[in-house]
Amino acid sequence: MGWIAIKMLTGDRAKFIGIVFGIAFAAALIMQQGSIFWGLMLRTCAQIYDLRGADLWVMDPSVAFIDDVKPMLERQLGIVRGVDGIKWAVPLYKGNARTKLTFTDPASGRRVDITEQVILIGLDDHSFVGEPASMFLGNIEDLNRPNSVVLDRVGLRKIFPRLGLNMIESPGVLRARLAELSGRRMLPATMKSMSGADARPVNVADSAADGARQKTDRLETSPVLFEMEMNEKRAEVVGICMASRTFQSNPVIYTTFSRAKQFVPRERKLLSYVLVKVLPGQDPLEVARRIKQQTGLAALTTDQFVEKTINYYLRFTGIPINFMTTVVLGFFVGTAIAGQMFYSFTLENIKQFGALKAMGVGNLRIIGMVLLQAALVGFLGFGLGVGAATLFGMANRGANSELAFYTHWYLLCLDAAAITIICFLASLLSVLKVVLLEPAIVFRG
Amino acid sequence: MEFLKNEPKHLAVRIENVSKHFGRGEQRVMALRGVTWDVASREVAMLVGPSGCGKTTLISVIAGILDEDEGSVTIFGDDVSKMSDRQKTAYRARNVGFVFQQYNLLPALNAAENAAVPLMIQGFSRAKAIARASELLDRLGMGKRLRSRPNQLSGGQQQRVAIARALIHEPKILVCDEPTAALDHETGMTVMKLIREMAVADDRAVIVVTHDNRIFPLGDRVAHMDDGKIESIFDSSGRPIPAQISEAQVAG
Repeated sequence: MGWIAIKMLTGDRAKFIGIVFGIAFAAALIMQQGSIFWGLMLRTCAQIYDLRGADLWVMDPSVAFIDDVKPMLERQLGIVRGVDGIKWAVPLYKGNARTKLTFTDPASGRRVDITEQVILIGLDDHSFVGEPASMFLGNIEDLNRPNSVVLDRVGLRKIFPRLGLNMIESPGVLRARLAELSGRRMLPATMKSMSGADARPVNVADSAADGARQKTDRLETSPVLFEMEMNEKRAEVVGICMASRTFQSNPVIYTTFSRAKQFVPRERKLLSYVLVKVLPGQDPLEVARRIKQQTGLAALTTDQFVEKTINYYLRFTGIPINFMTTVVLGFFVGTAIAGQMFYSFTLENIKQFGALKAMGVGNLRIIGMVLLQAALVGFLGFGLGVGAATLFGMANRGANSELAFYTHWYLLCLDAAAITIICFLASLLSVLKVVLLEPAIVFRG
Repeated sequence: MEFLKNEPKHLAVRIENVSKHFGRGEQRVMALRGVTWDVASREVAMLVGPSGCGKTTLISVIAGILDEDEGSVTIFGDDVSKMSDRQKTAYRARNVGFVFQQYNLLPALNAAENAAVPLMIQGFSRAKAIARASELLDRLGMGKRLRSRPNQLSGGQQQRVAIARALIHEPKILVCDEPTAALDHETGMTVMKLIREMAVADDRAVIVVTHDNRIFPLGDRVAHMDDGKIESIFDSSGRPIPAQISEAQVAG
């Protein structure tokens, strides 16, 4: 009978496609909005994932999320280092700064001033713990240079929106373009050194003679891409790194902890977080408990900090409600379209269902037929909807994409559950109709 | 039993004092008022009467798709009145064939698939059911239209498919509701002759509801209904005959 049910369903192509479309619409909307929501939530904690290498984040207990920095005294770093089970603990600065850049607009040839709010990250001066996962241009070791900073690639695009800087260009092209825009002289030798392979960081172990030679060759081998002001202090951008897009989408600038303190207004408390690595064999949760007990500070694993940050956005911002509204709307629109068309399909076939009942098909088998039809359109609609949402996501993916889009398998399950409910609701009226159907209807002309 | 064209073998259907009403209170309508009627095997019994006289209700009760309020319906010794809904459903699947006025073929299935439906209901494999349906359709002159959908068939062809569907599972009774109403006279006669030729069997009774007096000669008895009762019964030549058949008559 299942075969007959499917033939009945697919026999009316227009209705069949209509029902599948309705369900696909709902599935796509739920998946697309859910993925964007999930993507946004991940952006809220993008920097927690980006600042890798540590097992624990130590912070003021009142910190609610990654951007909710409650600075600590630097002596807290030493106290944390004294807790048992810690391999190392390093400082991290996280704050905001205002940058000012002056460039030549290639279209008009005029000098243009650009002011931009940035996120400033100050890494441990020696270990660079929390450094970017990869560099697009330059070397992270160049942060050892005076005034040096590294800018993230997405941020670079935000700083130069009107200058037509195409981020998919190769590092070499990007370097040349930045030199052109900033009016810096580019020598062939520089091109080679800037690719990164030949770049050599300044090392305290270098001899004075080496230092002098490096100073002489500075113009050719300088890793500086361009200069800018940061809180009215000179900063040299020596590298472009890959960093996850943040929720606020402000450019991210990496520098050392000591230099970060120079860039920002002088305050008594400038230690944002302490990044901790536990000794091998130590349970990070146990060490976190010890830190909390002995210092009064909060210590969270990366996952716990991510969870805390997402929970904050879920509880204290209107973002979930806005997305949920669209998801619920998609659910109801899908249910309405699928339900109306499915019921209409059942009504059109009511005589056939009546004939089947008269011929000896029981109610259970009739219900089975209707549910099978609903399951088939649900399966197809779900597949098409998820496929469409995935294509949408793929079309907009990439580090430079403005769109936050992340499809977690939870979402697939949630979408499948929603579509199952839609199909169930859509078929409910039809099931009732055919169950209550008097088979004697077949004798009415 | 000289009114029967074929010698009866069994008492196929016995309807005794069957009553049925619809609605309540002032809306209450008596559709059947103590109907008593017998149909023998190998018989084609016709049921005629004005609209609303209770014909459809009566064949619905006989076929087991409506419950009577009073009385009993016995088919080949099985008291259908005492069966539960589930038993009636199973009984219909095995023992009742239907030919409807509007054919009620499934538009998405072709002729062979439509005719195979009752076998599939009984659990036959699709391939086996369609093979048997194709054979039967071939005997009904539809061998070249096995793969045609209902909308590709004429009314007469659709009714042949419906007859094949009604007979494919070799039911004990065949209930035909106005089988010629949607057909022109010539096609209607052809269809009725087919029913007569194909359906009449030793262990089967055929009940035909019709308004078409041109097909009366193809029946063995014509029962006239009015206001929920069988008013009179005639043989094909117009002679009045009794509503009930005695066991002795069947045996004889």
